[in-house]
Amino acid sequence: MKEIKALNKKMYKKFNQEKKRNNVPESEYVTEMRNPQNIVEFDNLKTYFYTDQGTVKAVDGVTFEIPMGKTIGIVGESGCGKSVTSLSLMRLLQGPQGQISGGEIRYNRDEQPVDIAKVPVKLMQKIRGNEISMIFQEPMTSLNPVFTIGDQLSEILKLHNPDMDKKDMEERVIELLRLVGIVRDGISDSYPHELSGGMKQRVVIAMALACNPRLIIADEPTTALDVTIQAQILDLLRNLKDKINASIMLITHDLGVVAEMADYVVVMYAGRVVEQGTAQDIFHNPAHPYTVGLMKSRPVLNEEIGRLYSIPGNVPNPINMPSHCYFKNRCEKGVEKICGGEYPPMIDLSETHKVACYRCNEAVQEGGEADGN
Amino acid sequence: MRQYIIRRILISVLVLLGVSFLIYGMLRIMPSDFVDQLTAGNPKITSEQKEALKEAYGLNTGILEGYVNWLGDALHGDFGTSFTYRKPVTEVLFSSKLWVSFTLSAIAFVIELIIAIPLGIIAARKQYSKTDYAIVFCALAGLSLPSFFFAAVLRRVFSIGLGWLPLSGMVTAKQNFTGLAHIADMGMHFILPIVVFVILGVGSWLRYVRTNMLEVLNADYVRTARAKGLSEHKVIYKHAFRNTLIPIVTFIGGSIPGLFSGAIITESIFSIDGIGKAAIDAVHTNDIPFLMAYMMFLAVLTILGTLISDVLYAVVDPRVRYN
Repeated sequence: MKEIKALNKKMYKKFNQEKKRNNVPESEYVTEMRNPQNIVEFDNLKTYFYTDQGTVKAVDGVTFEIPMGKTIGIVGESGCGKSVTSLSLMRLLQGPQGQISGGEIRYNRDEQPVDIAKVPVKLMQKIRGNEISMIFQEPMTSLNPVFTIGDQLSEILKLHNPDMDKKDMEERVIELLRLVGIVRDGISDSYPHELSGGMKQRVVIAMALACNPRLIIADEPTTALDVTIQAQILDLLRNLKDKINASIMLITHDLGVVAEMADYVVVMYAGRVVEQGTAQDIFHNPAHPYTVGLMKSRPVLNEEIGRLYSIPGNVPNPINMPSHCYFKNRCEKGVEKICGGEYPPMIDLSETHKVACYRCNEAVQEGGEADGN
Repeated sequence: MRQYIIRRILISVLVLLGVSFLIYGMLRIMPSDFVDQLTAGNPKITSEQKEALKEAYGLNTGILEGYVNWLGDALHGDFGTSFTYRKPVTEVLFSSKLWVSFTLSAIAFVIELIIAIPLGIIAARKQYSKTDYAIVFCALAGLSLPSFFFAAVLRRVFSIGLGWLPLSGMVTAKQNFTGLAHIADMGMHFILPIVVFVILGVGSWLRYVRTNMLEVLNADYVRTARAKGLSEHKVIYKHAFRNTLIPIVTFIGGSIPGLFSGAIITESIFSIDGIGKAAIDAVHTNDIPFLMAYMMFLAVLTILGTLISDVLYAVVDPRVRYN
């Protein structure tokens, strides 16, 4: 208990000191992209929460990249660190408890690539909303109830385009609303409570698109909406992506959505990437037993089955994670002799397909078989 | 909106009727009335004389009859003559006493808000930090101080010890200041009572602001505001503060009657001739006409206060609309 408190105190202090620093020299955060075709590269990102119960390693060494103009789907069950990864990218973690404790998030800025994890707050405020924007999962509560839709949309325009005159701004607001499929008159004078959930989510999307961002993070954009609206919103996102040539980081636990939208898929489990590859790789040749389980657990049309498959057991306690593979205790293929050792390294199955499992080769065969049926 | 206000006013008439009857009833069933107290300890008084006195003061009727009489007069704008002051009640009530009490409370109230809102916001922004603990500790300490004790300490230190401020009263005796000098003199006398009000009152406001701000700061729309790239200052003072205002505004409406009710203890300690002191005296002597008028005045203010906060609610919160 005492050790936890002492550690937390130390980390909070460090966090507050970092926050207070002015004039951070450029050399500290300017970096080099591994591949200039990528918009964002996560490199061994570690985001920890220092709580009274202990350190929660919500994201523990996540590495993947987002290529320019592509959609990348992040999947995994609740609490696996999907949202925390995206909040780290936006630097919107609740400090001082939650902080990026290690690793790099390289972002390919127009001027020069920067490491988001070290960027000073001032620069981050320029990036947020303008270059990287985010669609949150709660449309009902994501809009400020006391300002009109028009106010909230023009606010972001004014912030990032201070020279824009009032008339242009009004036109742009209407254009944005039209872009997301809201054409009702007087909508910009209405308050959020006067709109339906789907409309609110469209407004949130319009807000995210306002400054033609280069990357849109969509954190479960359709979870709170019903199925017909879901389809509309997804169509909208796909069309808009092509229109403004942005990349999308789509976070969801809905595999159907991923299959439909994503070019690349990253599967996360308990704060780590367990498998990544193209959508083809993941859906047709899942290699990690966890991914295989996920695939088995989704409903299939035109097929008579009993109960849907569910992966047995629970996610391990995020405090005091074991040193072996986190999935071992729930894994059907777990073999104590092999899996009880160190956490498995990333193994390249093909140029695009990577997996963190000692027994992946066997899993691939079975996944392939299941797919062949 | 107008319809809503009219409806509310009509309802309040009924409420006031109920309130006045309750108060009148309670005052009349008190074990000894004004005449009993007046004649107590006077062995020469006969029961006939007492009856005559009671009739003169209108205390010989039943409760219901007395109430109907009072109500009839009150509806004509006649609230009767105060037993103790022997002047029309309205004259006693709306005298300098009320304005003295009001000035004191109003100044204290404004200062409380000026202190509580920024400090509450700072405490909320730095939750669980040393600053937060310090602010909350001071607020709680002020809240839990008994006014008579704190007033005594202040007087000991600033009046008797340092001699900076007058001990009590409202003006310096035998100086007969006029104009600005008079106002400055009264100001000096009001400093200590106002400090007592502020220190004792600021805590509850501060805690209220802090709690509301904390709630708002965790709201999704505040995160959205940050995600837009707004500076922390804008996020707090535009997006979060507007939402914190909603509950605060209603609270402000509710404290309007408090501004006029006077503060019995503090006024007594500092010998300030305010309405609180007058009211407690009236309770001791059972001065029914004065108490009735005083309490009805507060009842009207309470109703007005809630009405005002409801109206303000609609002003600050677009989700609230009255039809």
